[in-house]
Amino acid sequence: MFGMMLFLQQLMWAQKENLPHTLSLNFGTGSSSVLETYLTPYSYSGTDYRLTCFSEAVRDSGKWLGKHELSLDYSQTTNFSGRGLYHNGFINYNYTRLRRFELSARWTLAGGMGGDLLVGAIYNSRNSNNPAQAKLNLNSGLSALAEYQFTLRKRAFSVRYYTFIPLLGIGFAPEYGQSYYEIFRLGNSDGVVNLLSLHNQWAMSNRLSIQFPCGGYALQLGYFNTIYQTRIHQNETSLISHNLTIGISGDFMRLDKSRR
Amino acid sequence: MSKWIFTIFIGFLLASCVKEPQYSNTPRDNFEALWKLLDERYCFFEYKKLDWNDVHSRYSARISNSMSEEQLFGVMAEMLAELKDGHVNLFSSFDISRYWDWYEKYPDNFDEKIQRRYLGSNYLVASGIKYKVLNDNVGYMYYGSFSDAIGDGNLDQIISRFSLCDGIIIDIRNNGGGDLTNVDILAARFNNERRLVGYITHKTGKGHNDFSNPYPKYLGTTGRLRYQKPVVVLTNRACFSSANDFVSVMKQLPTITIVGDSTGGGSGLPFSSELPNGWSIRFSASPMFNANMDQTEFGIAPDVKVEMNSDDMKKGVDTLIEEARKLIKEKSKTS
Repeated sequence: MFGMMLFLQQLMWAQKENLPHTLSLNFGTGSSSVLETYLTPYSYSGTDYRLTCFSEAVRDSGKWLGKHELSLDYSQTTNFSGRGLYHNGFINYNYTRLRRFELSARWTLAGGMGGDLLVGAIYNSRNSNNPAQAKLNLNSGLSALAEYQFTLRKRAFSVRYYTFIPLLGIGFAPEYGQSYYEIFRLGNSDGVVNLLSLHNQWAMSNRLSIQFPCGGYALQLGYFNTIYQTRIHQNETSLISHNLTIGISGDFMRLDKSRR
Repeated sequence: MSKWIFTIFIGFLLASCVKEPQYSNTPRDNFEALWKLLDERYCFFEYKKLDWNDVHSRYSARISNSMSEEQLFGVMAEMLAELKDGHVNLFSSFDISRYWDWYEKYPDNFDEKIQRRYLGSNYLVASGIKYKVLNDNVGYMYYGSFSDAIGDGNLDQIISRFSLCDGIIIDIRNNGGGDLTNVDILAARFNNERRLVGYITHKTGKGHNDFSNPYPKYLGTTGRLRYQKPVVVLTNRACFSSANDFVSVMKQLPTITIVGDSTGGGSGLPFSSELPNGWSIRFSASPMFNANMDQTEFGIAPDVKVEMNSDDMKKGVDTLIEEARKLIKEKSKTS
């Protein structure tokens, strides 16, 4: 809800100030590796699918960049023997505000801070009273962006790298051998809300993309990597995904105006 | 200063790094993985006074990397039987290991053919519960599995039908358990106030004694139909897991009498995991206690011990049902 408010505020600001506001939609597929020791001690791997929506707006004469990102991620993973199956589904919302530095006509660097919300679950199709592990994590962290623009055959290309590293937050996690029956049916929620920092969490997302014009829009090709690892109550979680992505982006608000 | 900051940063990172246990899919590694998994997560080692290290040394000697899958499964199944726990099973594609001594070594105290003589063919069924008013105006309901979901509307129908009876017999013999939620739904129909009915703990770490503080379990009431007359619960050794919990809960209620044999136990909430070869393992992970903080892992004694009489059986009479009818008649006269 808070993210939606920020997004709408950004949209309204961009329209009011007549500033560029880019919307992007990307689809990615690749591999996923999942370790969740609350369910089993071993890694599961399989195919990952990710749909991501971005919204970016530059403000204050290009000094600041506001960036929203909403990802829907699903993977189906199996264990080494092929006898076990996980369904993994996550919604990830990320908002960052970055200070931009246009070093030259080609190079732009930006750095900033933001918030990240991860909601989802890992479901094991054959477990009894520990069939799933839910994730609900809210983090603040650092973000950085580097962009290089160039022309090739009179067409403008840009290569961009973006990263976000969660540093401090809170997250839900049952205790070592605690069942969801005890937490939700009996109401024992002691210890399920945990502080997250580098002592028990290592996570980052990396996105490398190339963008070039295609009609009135821009086509994006890229690589997206996410690493999310925690060790809470002696239960370990590791979610690693590698995706090749394809997407489209454009200043849709401005295009709407020109059509009116 | 910067060196210190760097060292602290690296220390934090190493602390958060996730290390997956490394096992290969050999009989030896599968055995070690099974032993370690239970060593870290099984919840009854101390209560059962089982030396798990000693178990390791005895069974490890029988493992060799040249043994077949069936041979490995056999040794593992024997090792798991040392836990004397009906909630411990190893699942392979060709077999399921199990420990059933908790009821196989005891009298059945239940005969479906004899039960059919009481139910006849005109009994009703709701939420998996077979029910009927017996000819002496005693309500009889048979609930064979707590896996059968109970609907509030169904219970309203059953209790409404029994409302003019002198009492109810709830027969849960041979009920091997299921969903604990159904325990509360059913028991709440016989409870008039929020009541302490037990405790639960869970493991907080890998040590055999790493447990959380006991957390109380309360049975609430329901705003729907509640039964106020005498109730008898029939039990035998094949009442296990959720059925065992049901008996533990019902024992706290004033209008209830437990009749029959001791239950089979199974008070550990089971979790699942797996071995490197993909075999699945189920084990007790979170112990539950009765309202006096007593363990019920090995069963709950009835209030009135009754066993099936062989002469009765020859006549097609269920000794436990007859005793329950007698008790209800006595109680209904005094109440």
